Amino acid sequence: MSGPAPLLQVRGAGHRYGDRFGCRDVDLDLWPGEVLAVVGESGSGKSTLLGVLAQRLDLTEGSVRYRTAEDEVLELGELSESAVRRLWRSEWGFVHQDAADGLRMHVSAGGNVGEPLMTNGWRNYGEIRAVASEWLRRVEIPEDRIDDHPTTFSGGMRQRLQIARNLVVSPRLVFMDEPTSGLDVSVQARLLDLLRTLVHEFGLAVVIVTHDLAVARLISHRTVVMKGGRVIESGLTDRVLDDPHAPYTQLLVSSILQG
Amino acid sequence: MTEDPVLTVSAVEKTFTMHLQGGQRLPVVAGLELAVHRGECVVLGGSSGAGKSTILKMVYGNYTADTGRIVVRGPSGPVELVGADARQVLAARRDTMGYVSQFLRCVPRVPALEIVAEPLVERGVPAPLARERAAAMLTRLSIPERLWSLPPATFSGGEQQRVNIARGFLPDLPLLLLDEPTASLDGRNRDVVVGLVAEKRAAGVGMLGIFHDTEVRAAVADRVVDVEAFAPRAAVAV
Repeated sequence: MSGPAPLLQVRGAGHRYGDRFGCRDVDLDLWPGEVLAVVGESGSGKSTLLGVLAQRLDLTEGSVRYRTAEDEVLELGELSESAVRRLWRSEWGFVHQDAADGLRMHVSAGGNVGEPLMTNGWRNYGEIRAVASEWLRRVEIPEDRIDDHPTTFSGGMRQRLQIARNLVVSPRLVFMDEPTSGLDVSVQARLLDLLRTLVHEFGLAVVIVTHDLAVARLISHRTVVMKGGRVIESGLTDRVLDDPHAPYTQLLVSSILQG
Repeated sequence: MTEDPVLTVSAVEKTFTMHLQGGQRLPVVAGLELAVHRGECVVLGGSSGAGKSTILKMVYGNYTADTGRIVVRGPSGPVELVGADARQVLAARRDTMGYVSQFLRCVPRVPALEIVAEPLVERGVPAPLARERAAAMLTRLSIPERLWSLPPATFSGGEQQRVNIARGFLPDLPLLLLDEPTASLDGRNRDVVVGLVAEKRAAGVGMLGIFHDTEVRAAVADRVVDVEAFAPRAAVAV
């Protein structure tokens, strides 16, 4: 839970689409081993914020600093493309809502998990296959499916494969964009439990965007609530959900269906 | 008792503002003062709606106090929780205080034994030892062994409550918050909980609890603090 310094330090961050801001004035810190949920409705700016943090969208204003494994603090907006690529290769992961965006659909499951290792310089085929096989087991994909393409997998299996592909290189920070929302409820529970276990086991720092407060409750330590491109409330997840202060957060919490 | 209390609450005030009801303000407590020392069980008294549960939740950090001080004294010294950031509250929960409610928040797919062992594993106890202690606790609370490998989502309300009690009482923490842990238990299991409280007291744990059952309350309480003494005047006038 604790660490000497934040992994990610965001100050006054904003991204402008044409003449309006998708998100603005965002301040947040993320510490090693911490899971931060970003919640809000569609259009709240949560995906824009994730895009900015993950270097998929330009930082129009403000600053995003990342502390590397070598304890070097980088201002992400000033990094070269090759430096960003290096971070993606070894320190960061991104789990997309649609697994097809994060997988190579016409490469075998084993290839999908092995490819990031090869990018990191692994050359021994036997070792790569052994690690891929171990990761399939971890994400509960039968090992005899290792040579099958993800096109033949169910939605839940694809999503688990995408997680394996991301975690195989032991990243320090993983961004997740609605990783459970395209799945059936029963499949969601399984995926969430798996994520929870892996996050704990590997001490991952995670920024997870979700519109589902139950997902935030189950998996995150802290939650930020966004509306109209701004953070309107943030804090310990169970505090935000049990004692919401902002009118909009109260509306969100009161709209949860009781199951 | 000369040593510092494990929990000190002073001048705490809490008002809920219900924005969906036109900003209606709901004052719950004002001028709240209480302390819990090592090795004592303080029971919150007062009618339903007096704010007993709110007080426990403010201490645990689920609710924020508007003003005042809530200080818990853990292994690394006193921590002020009013205005603390999320990481400080999480650290206090890990090192200093536990919370036992009557409801288990079920995590899908996780077996009962793992749910009970988890707080120990998170605090660095090796998994096999944690499971052993979890098993002993489940046995004591009469959860049959055939249920241990199943997720409690399908258990009866009473069984879920006992799983939750086992999970809450297992870690060794200086302060335990008890929110009606005996609410729907049968006599035999109520006695087990009374025994667990006595053991915690003997181990020097400070406890702050809500117990509606008068027999249980008489058996566990060293002192009763009447919460109605801290009712906000505005609410009395309504």
